[in-house]
Amino acid sequence: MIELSAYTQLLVSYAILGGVYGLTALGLSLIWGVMKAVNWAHGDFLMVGMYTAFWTVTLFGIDPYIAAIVAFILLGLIGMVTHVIAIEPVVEKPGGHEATLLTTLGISVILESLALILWSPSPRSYQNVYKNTFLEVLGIRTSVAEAIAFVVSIASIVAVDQFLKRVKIGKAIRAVSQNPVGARVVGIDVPKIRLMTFGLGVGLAGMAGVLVSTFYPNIRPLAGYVWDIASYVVVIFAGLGTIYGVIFAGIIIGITEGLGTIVFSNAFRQILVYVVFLVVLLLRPQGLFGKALRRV
Amino acid sequence: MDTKAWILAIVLLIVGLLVGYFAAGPGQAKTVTVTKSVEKTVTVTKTVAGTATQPAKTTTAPAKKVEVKVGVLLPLSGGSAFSGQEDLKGIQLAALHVNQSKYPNLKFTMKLVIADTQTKQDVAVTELRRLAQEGVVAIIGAYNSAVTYPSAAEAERIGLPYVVPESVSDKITAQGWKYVFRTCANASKYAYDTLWAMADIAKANGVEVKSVALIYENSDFGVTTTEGLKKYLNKFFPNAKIVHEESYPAEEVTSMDDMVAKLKAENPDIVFHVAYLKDAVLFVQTMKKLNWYPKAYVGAGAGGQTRVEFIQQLGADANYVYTQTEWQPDFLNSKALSKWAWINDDFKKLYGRDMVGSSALNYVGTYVLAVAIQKALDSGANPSDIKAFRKAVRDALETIKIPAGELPLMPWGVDLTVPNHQNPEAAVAMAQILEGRFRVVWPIEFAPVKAVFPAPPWGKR
Amino acid sequence: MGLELKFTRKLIPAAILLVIGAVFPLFADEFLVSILMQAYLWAFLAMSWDVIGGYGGQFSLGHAAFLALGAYTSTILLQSYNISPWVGMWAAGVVAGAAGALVGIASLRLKGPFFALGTIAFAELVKLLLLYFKGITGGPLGILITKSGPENMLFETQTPYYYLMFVLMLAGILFLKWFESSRFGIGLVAVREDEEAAEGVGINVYRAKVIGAAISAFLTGIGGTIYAQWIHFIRPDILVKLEYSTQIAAIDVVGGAGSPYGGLIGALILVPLSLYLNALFGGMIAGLSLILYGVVLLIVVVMIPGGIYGLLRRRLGRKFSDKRRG
Repeated sequence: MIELSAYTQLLVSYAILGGVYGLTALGLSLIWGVMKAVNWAHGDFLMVGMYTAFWTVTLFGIDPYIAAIVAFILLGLIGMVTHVIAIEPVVEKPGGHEATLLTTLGISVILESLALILWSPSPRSYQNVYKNTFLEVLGIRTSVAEAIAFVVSIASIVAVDQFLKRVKIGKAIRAVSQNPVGARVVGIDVPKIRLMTFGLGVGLAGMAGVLVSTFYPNIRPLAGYVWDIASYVVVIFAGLGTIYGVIFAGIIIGITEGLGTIVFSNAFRQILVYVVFLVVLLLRPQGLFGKALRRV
Repeated sequence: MDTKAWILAIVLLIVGLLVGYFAAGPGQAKTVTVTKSVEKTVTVTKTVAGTATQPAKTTTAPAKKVEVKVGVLLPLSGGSAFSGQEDLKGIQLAALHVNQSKYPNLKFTMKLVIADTQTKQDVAVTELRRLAQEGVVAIIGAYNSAVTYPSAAEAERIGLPYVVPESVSDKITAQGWKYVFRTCANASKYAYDTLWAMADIAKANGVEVKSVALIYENSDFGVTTTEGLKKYLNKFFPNAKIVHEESYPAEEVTSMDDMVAKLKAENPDIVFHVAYLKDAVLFVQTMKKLNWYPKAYVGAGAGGQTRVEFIQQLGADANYVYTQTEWQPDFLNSKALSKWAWINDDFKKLYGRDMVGSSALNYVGTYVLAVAIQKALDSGANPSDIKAFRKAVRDALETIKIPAGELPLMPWGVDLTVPNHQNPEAAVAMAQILEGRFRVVWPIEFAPVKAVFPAPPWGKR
Repeated sequence: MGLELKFTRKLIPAAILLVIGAVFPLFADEFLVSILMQAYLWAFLAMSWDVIGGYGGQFSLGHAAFLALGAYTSTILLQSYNISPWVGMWAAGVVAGAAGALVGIASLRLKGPFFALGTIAFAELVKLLLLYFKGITGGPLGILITKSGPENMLFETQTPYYYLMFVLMLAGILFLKWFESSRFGIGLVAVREDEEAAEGVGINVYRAKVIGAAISAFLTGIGGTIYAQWIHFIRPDILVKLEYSTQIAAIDVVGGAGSPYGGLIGALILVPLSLYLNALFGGMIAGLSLILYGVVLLIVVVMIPGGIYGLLRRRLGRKFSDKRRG
């Protein structure tokens, strides 16, 4: 079977993949934490991010990592518009969390179909040197694009954590996430904070989309779906109110997936992931790294 | 705040739709073009006829043309939208050529009624009902085998001829259906031809194949093709062992490092990979990342590796990949097929690039159906009696026999007189990507270039 | 007299609608019949969802799994054991119902959006298991129904299917009408409103949730059988689709969750809308119909929180109360 060096290779490969899962889940986790809203269109925002990369790189010839900044800003704005249309009007009403599920479903359908009409279903791609250059350390190889995505993933998680701890708006976001009623009492403008969070979360999704597109093939209207599911699994694993948990959960899932396929078959691996997911959900709904939910 | 946002959203939506409508370009609302070109043809024939001084005969001939409606059932949105829209281009071009009287034996006008299955079976069945009601005499479709089944079963019940030009699942023609006809090869034939081609190529290069690996996506397409590969493997490679076999979900796969690592450890001579586009690209990328390449990496079943995007996305890394292919522009370089170059020229004029395998297959399917409709018309069936005419088209389809050389674009012929209506003559060629182009390398007598076998390792390219 | 008036006021429109529904296939063309037929089927599925999703307040997004379990059970019984789906549908309901009970147990621990996510994972798991056990289910190749004859619930034309689904839909409405006034139904609503208070008045929350989920899944399973009999071909990845789960929920919420008529109203709006728009635009601009579908979904959920039935009831209710006051 496989030699030891192959195992370490896989360990590194899947740890990197897990880091990317963490990045795609970060925006979702923020939104989930602050308004308990399931953002169904998350994968579609990733998709729009990928297209942003494609268009900026092919039209203006700029570096995909600059496109990531463009995508962050652009998607941030789109996210705020979405929030005003689809989240804010329903989120506080009774059954609001479920309603956001349906409204974001509507947004998701609209975004996918718009992408289909505007950009055709042809799978797009852009050439970049990063995915074709490789790093080799002690016989373990990875592409530069994946390595950068991993580093950016960790950096953005640290940045978001510092933002939540040090910046005024960030602190307010944390306050709303932990205790919305209390936050309102101390004079925080809760709707405004929700708007900011949604914008930030969607912006992060857009950025993640660009980074994924540097090494993962096929930019097409349904491209976000595969990362969507992974992101939800990560968010549930990580639990509420934790930012660093997202990256740990991502890496754990990445490695479990990778090693799972060696021990079991590829067909069984997916079954395993969902079984573990359900068990964690049932035994620790607050997630592996989250704080216990207080009953209200 | 609420109302403003709503107004903004609706304005954005309308702008988006308008932009989309104009940006969509050719291929989306083609029916208009078809009818226009028909008018043009009429005037052209008139002038030609005038110079030939036979006015009475030809001026009346175009006026006599009957219009026959044909239903097109394809996934134009949803998961398979890209392939569906590609197929539609082939069908529309074939209809255009029929209407422009490019084939002198076809003397009617074909009007396409296009329906979108959204890649969903229940939508497909509903749309089939609608097409039946709009008076189509036959259906062409529906790309996804999973959608073709139930819609073909429904067509069988209504008594509506159904031509399958591209869905490969064996089961479609194994039901004894009377109204369902397939012009392309089925999955087992694809598998058979893959092995045949690779055995020939290996022999020509004096390499003995001792071990193979089978990697496939886990839906209908991958599973049936791989079953075929396993069934015929030892017929072509008597000494080969399957050292590794693994399936994966094509849509959800995020990383293929595990599979490549296992293959690297086993080091098989040939890897047969039944894949869609994304997973094929990812697989080759991962092989490069882990610095391993087999003697031959073969895309079986003419899936993702045969697409132009495969080369676009991988660049030079796509070189030396083998892929089964139904059709390549390279075909037109061969003596037997160069007479069909005008079809590809027309395609280029309309869409700005070469035809691909799936559009060519659908072109051929549409042509076969058109021949059958003409036969039905010749037999005296009245197209205004829709039920009887459908029956006549079905009966005509059952007698279709077009020898190789007379069928447009393809090196093979069509024979639908067999009891299961599965064209036994359809074959699949093998191409290798060399210097960033698909080059046909098998059947060897058709091949303009020689295959490179074994492929050079990554370091020596 | 007041009671009598109320009775006739309700009965006459109901009777008129019933007659229109019953004679519809005699006058309409096949395409319309097949659209309306699918609307009834989705209405029934939405009503089944309503038991746990509307009355029970547990927002399930895994109902496609019950649909698939029902479809597979009866189809395997028909194809391998030659048992007619008229019998098999009850087995289908029982199998789906058992799975539903499991989900009900999970709902005790998972609240709100957590429950929704859990059911999504559950549905994915069911799909993977259907794919994995190839020997029984045919795996990714699926099962094609090859039998025929009305004794096997297979018909040559669409009209019998229309009446089958019409009856199914009526049965759904009658069941929900009975259910909402039954002791169990009232208990389930009480649990939805306030679990602890419900427990306080002696309702067994555990029992209510588990049985509620089981009933909902049972009905969905029967719907699955009918769906399989109509479409003739089932395969895990085209049956257990998140799209189907969300469509079931969306129809009920748009129509008005927690009411016997919500499912029907939602289905009569959304199903013809999507199928008809697809027929209209599919050949020209693929995807346009889905955009309009998304917009309608968004507008209804944002603007009309109680669904369309809720809106109608509020409007009508106000009118009547105005009259009484005047």
